[in-house]
Amino acid sequence: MSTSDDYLNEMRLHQDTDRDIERLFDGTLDSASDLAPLTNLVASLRGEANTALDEEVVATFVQSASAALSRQRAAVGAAPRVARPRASSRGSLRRRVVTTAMAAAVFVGGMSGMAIAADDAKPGDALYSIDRAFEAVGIGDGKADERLAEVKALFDAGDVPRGLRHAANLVEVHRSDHPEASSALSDAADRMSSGGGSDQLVAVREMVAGLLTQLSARASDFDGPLVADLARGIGRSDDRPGSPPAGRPSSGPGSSDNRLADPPGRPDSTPGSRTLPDDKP
Amino acid sequence: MTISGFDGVLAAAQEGSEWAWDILVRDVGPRLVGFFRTRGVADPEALAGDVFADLARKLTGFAGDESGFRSWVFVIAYRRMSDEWRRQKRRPRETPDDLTTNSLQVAPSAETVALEAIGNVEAIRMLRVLTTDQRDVIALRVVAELTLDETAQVVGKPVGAVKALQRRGLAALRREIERQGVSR
Repeated sequence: MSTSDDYLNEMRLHQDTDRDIERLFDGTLDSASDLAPLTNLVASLRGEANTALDEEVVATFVQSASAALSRQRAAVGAAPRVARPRASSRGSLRRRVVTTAMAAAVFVGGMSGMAIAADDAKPGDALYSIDRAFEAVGIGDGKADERLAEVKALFDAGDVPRGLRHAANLVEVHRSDHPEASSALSDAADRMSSGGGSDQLVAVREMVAGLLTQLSARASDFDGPLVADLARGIGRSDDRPGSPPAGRPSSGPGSSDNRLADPPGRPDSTPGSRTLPDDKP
Repeated sequence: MTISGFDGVLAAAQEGSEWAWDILVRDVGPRLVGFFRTRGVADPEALAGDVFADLARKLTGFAGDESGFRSWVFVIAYRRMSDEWRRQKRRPRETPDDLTTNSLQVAPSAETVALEAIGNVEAIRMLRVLTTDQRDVIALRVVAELTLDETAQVVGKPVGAVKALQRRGLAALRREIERQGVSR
């Protein structure tokens, strides 16, 4: 035989072997195969992957991940800041402190611990605005669950697209009779992710505040069409600060840049009403 | 194994939700610990914990599907293991005396006499006949349950090289099984 024949034979042999190896690994190897004696060895090794972890080990791994995230976010919050205009630095610092405190509490103590900590906050404390916000959306007195707190934490952190996506999942699971609302929230998240709405944050925040109030409402009071309407208004190119969608009150020049850190509505606001919460006197 | 609603779980894990991390840990954790144990890492659970901490720090930058996620996890795990070995300046302990023994029930037969009662510990010991690269590839394919392409990505070699490593590795293991069968 020529050298090329030898080469082709070897190639065919390799191909056959490679095919048998794949069968050996997925458990479909023919018992007549040359690799059959390895079947039990492979099954035994695979047993390593099929041994469930102890609950204690699982908890340790989850804690490792959570602690790493917490440390990372705290480090980001403590990183040296680039000098900014004095007028905005105070609000920015306040938001950063609040966001960092929230992130740390969320990942170290869980949201219930966060609500307890914030309940003790006094005016002037970094946690005070969170306390008021939690009262407004029901956290702390049992009216909302952890998922809603996560939505709010994302909005507070300024991550509107993820907050909207998380809100869409929440509505899909907990308000499944309002698919139009979850769909509109997902669409809004997509628009915000693609850069839409970057220049109309105040109007977006006002709508997000309305969303938070709605999401905290009891199931019977949840107004799906209103949520869908609000979500559809987020990220639209025709939305500008001071020019919210038709039928929506203007945020006006007095709208705070920290709107998301402030309560989205009064505790005694009617969740089912089709008006946006208005925290102006 | 597959994760139901992987995209949602990934997004939630990126946000720091513990329930999402719990799902990811239960899915990939056993394979991760098994891979480290198979490769002779002295404290596989401690190293796996370090890998999950690494994952948490880097997860916000990850974008991909479930398959991509698994291979990415093992890319990080493989690097971690290599760093650990470099740090210790020695190869891992090759006699895993403290391994969990899950004996495999094997029906005795003339053809498989060498494989009688091969447990996890004995199977891992048998891998000592392989080169380091062969052991990496076999462990990633069998224990981590990665595909050829995913394995190639983890070890940083072409797919053809990975195929050759697993061919030679399995041939060596087969010879070892036959040798042990003859010696018994």
